[in-house]
Amino acid sequence: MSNPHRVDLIPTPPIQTRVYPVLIAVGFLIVLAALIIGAVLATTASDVFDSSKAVRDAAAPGSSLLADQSDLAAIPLWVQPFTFFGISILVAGVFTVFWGLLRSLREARGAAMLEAIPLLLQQSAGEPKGGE
Amino acid sequence: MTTNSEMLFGSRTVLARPEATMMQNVARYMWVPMLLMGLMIIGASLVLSLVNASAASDYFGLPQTIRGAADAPGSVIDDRQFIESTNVWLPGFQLLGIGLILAAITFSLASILGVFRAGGVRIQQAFGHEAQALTPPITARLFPMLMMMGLMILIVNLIISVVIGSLAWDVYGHSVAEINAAPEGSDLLGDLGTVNTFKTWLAPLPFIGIATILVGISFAVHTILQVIRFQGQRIRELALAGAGK
Repeated sequence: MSNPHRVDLIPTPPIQTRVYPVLIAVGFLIVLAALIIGAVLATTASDVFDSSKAVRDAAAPGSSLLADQSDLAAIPLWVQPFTFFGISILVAGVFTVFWGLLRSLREARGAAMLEAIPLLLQQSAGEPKGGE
Repeated sequence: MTTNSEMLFGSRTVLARPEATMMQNVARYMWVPMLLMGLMIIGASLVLSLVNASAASDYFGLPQTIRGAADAPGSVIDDRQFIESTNVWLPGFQLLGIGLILAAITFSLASILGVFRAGGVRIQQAFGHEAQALTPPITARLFPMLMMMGLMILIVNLIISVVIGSLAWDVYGHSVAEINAAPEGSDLLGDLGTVNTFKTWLAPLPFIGIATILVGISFAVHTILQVIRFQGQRIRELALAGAGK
């Protein structure tokens, strides 16, 4: 059995609940982009290692083989920090939703308990309702 | 008044007993083994890293003429084999440990949800009212799946890493001179290419697993937030109902 979800007696959800999905999505996309870069780089690595060491070492300036070797050495140097950047944004998203949780604890549940529990205790003890 | 965004996140159900869901009960017992396994893996990785560092120290402590010679001593080749193969699979192993620790956090959050659910029912019954709870919102249904998916990605990554690590073991079982002299089209050059090709995408793959578990954690925290908001609403409803409003 289920009823509609009423939310008329509590404040609107904190802004953090709208911000964190954006951070999570951006962070995840960055990590995914790093994987895609890694996959593209795999084809470069495959091209490079199709050639023997003698051919690789003799690659002429401006040749595609030398450019591929340069990419293979350079790109991984920033891909890993880029991945960690994505993970940091994801962690920032987790932190943001925790911040929203803290606000909800204070503003929705905490405030409601402060107001309602004395009333409920009075009602359950059968005492006449006092001033609010 | 119900906002559309909150309608997405479940409705209400009436509960007869103060019980957590089966997943929440499982989570109560699972977070400890997950945490311990994660910590053990991280500890084992640290020990392996130290052994690897010792092998690297031995290897690079030798002059290039000995390391690069075609008749390099067996111990030199063994060191190189160990260093190269461990470098392939150890990062995936470490990140599996981190993933298990994050999974333990996810289980703890699920366990907290169980406490909120049972506690909410007890309080409503104590005041003599019908015990209502939030039906599992979409975030609650997604976060256990995301955690499991993340762990599966980490396990698959480790399996691939071990396979490529064993291939690296074979490749670097040859002396540096032999590897450098491998002709085009040879098995040795092909295997070297495979090791280097896989390494480029095996490095970011486990982070997809970690990211998936982190998304699951954020959904778990959002579910707690929704439960807390529901309980704030419900306790005010009880006070109003008792006051005859």
